Amino acid sequence: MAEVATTTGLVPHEGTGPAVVLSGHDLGKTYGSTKVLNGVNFTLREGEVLAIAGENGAGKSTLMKIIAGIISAGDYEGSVQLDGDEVMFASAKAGTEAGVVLVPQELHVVPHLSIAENMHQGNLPGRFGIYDERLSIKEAKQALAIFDLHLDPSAPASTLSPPQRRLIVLAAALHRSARVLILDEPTAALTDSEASVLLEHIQSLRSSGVGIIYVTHRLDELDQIADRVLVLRNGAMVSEFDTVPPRRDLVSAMLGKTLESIQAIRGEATIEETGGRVLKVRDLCVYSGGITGRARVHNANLDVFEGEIVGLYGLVGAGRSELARALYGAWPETITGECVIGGSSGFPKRPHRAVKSGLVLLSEDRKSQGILSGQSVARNLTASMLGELTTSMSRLLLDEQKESSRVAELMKKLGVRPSRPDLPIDALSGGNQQKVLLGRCLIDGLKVLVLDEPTLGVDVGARKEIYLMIRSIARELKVGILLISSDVDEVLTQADRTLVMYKGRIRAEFPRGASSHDLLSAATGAVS
Amino acid sequence: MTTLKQNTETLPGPGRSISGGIGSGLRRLLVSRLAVLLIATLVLILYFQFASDGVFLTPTNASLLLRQAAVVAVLAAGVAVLIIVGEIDLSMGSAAFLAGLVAAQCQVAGLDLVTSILAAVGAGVLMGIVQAIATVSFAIPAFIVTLAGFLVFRGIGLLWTNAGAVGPVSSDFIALTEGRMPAVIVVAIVVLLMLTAVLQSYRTFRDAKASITPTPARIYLQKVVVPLAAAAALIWISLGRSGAPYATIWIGVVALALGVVLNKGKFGRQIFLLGSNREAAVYAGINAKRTVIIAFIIMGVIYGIAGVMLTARGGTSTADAGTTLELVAISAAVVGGNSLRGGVGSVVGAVMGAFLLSTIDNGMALLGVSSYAQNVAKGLILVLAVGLDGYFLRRRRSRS
Repeated sequence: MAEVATTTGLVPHEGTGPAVVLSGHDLGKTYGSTKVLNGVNFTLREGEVLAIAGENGAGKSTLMKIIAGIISAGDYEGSVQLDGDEVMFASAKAGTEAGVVLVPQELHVVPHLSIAENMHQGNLPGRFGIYDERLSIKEAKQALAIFDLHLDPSAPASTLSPPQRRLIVLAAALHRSARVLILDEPTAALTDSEASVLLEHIQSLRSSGVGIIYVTHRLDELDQIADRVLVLRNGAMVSEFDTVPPRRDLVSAMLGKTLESIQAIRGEATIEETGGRVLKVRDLCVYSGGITGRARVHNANLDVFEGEIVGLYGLVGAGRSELARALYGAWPETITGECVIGGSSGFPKRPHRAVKSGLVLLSEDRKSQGILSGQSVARNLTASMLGELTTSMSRLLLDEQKESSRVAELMKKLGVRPSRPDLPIDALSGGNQQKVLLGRCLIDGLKVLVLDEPTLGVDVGARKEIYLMIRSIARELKVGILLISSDVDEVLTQADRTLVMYKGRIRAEFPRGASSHDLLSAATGAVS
Repeated sequence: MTTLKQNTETLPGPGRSISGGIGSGLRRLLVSRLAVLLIATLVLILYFQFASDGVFLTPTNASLLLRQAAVVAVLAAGVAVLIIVGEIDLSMGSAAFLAGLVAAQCQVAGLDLVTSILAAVGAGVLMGIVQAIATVSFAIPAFIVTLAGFLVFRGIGLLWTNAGAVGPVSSDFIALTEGRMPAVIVVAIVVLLMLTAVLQSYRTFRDAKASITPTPARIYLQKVVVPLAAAAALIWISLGRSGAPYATIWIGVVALALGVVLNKGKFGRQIFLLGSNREAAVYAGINAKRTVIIAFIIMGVIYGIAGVMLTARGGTSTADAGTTLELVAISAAVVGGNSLRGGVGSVVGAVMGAFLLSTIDNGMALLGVSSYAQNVAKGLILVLAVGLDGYFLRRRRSRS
């Protein structure tokens, strides 16, 4: 680790070589009271590929947004210089016009508009406010040729598959005469061959003098294209490498921890004995765009035993959430494979069937798939267990006393604050909302609990309580838990064993006591 | 330490009802909406009373008002369920017309009363099922499905009769809504209402003793004052020349049944949860398809009941029976606090909304104002009611 060059507070090199095209000085950004980016400096020369690496939440996307003008000038600290002059982009459009083009990680393709219109978003060709469709289609065709795509530019974008959507946006960006091109996880949805076309094209852009900023989780790509690597961690720049370093060093820099410090936060009691198997999955494939389309999950096998917490670690786009939704009957498209939940075999067709067979999912998307906005905490808490709260007289009527005592019991157990079942759920903090949603999962006959990013956006205090809850659900209620997370520390400290996903496959399994280094290496494809 | 103390104080112990407390901010808004609605209706009644030189507030006119409001009230109560779950029904007028036509045809064919009613309800349920399947299984928005139903159901009826009137129905059939209730039934209802008030006031008192916070006056008003007022009004109307009509029972039974289903039933809870966030409710394991299908079938039963009432009121089934009824019923539900965004609303509100709109119709007709002006007044009230809601909601949000 000695070879890691820590150069925080870097100033632009004033050496010979190609001219500096873009540089940032002391860039910072604060959301509310959280500093998500702090004092970042960088320089980008003509014809250079600068890779930016870091864990999820390290501040990479925020940095890209500042550079491209999505976060407008004045909303961030520090300054950005293009060709030596300070620029103050008011919007992404202003950035694009000045030659700084960003291809974001989440695409904004409008399905009803044509491919050509989508490719020219923000700068439709034409004069006097009249759209020149012929010119637009001609330019779109030229751009599509980059990836050898034979598509009709006037067809609606809804006819494209998700990887094709990414390709048209990339093609449009590559075709634009940019000074600086910023690619945020560009290969996330691409096949290997499409990715290599992209990488080749980046090489040719670079020889024409374009500066390229490349953000990725896939460390194997860095060897192929990056000149220099900048590593961010917790919003700060921690290392800058002038060549692509060995992966081991990169991973260490991204984690920022020595192995000893990671050992120290572990050390809770491990599970003494495991009971019967509550979840068995064999050869699970999850497809999008039909069975001929792209497989989001390939041949996944996994077992969860009662009382056990199994971690499922992977970076964004690895296929973790797709796997969870398939298990819960919430994946709208084709899935194949075998599944046994408790005693019932077969994948549940819809979520209420999954709940009936004893498998519950806590979705990562708390806002749209979790809280029932406008309804009370009590109603949110009992939403999954209404069948248990009916009167002895009729299964159709709810027993108010049964419900209120269950609500009181759960709220006490979960430590929901404030302890007011009548408040609307929206009035609670994110952490307390999450406690309520965790409580909702505690149905009678719970066998398997799938937690997808259970502590996303949850403050440290509530996080600790949620961990304790998860542990007691596993150990006391003898529930098998699948803990899905992109947070290395979370799976390391909470899981009894951890599976690692990379590009839709479960690539490795680690027993308790593995290092974060091993996990991140497997999750970035650094080892096979 | 302070938070801990607060916890134990405000946590309802086992055995204590949280039905009053389980409601959220939006629910509180709804309760205050009901109070506003009640006051608005009272103000209108007073105005009409003075403007009409005392003709408005007579037992005879009140009896007429009840009979006029009945069909709208029943349909509004039914559509409230659909609105809360986040759907809509534009076919109500046509569907009630077709169900009423089925009843009239049965009557003309010489079938007995019960058979005629059952045939109408059967036709209504069938229409409900068809619309449920189209909405749920074929994933066509309810707006479109019921817009088609609006055209198709009336079209079928007109084809069947060649746009002619079918009737007259038997006098027994007419008496189903128009008939005067005998004193025994009136007394029975009044006793029931009074018992309800006594029971509710006992429960409120018991809960108030167990709770630290005082019971809000509006809950007392809703649960105790309203049944007593209804009982008094019923006695007063029944003493008049035309007496209390049987239509009262239809309104009462439908409102009570749907109210219990929505507020006490598992199905009703699922309706509210689906309405506030369909996707999250599905993720919580609620069977959305089944619940929405049942809601449409319940609406189908309501078509049948409303159809019978429509035909009974007219004495014959005419080609234009029930036109624009769907819009009046939706207006009534919305004025009564049922949000078209879903997740919020009540049957009581919908029925009260129906009475408010009928009061305007009846009062303005009594004053000899043109029916076109009545539409203007009702339209303005609809916009005012929803606009005020939005205003209060925003103010509540900005304060918290």
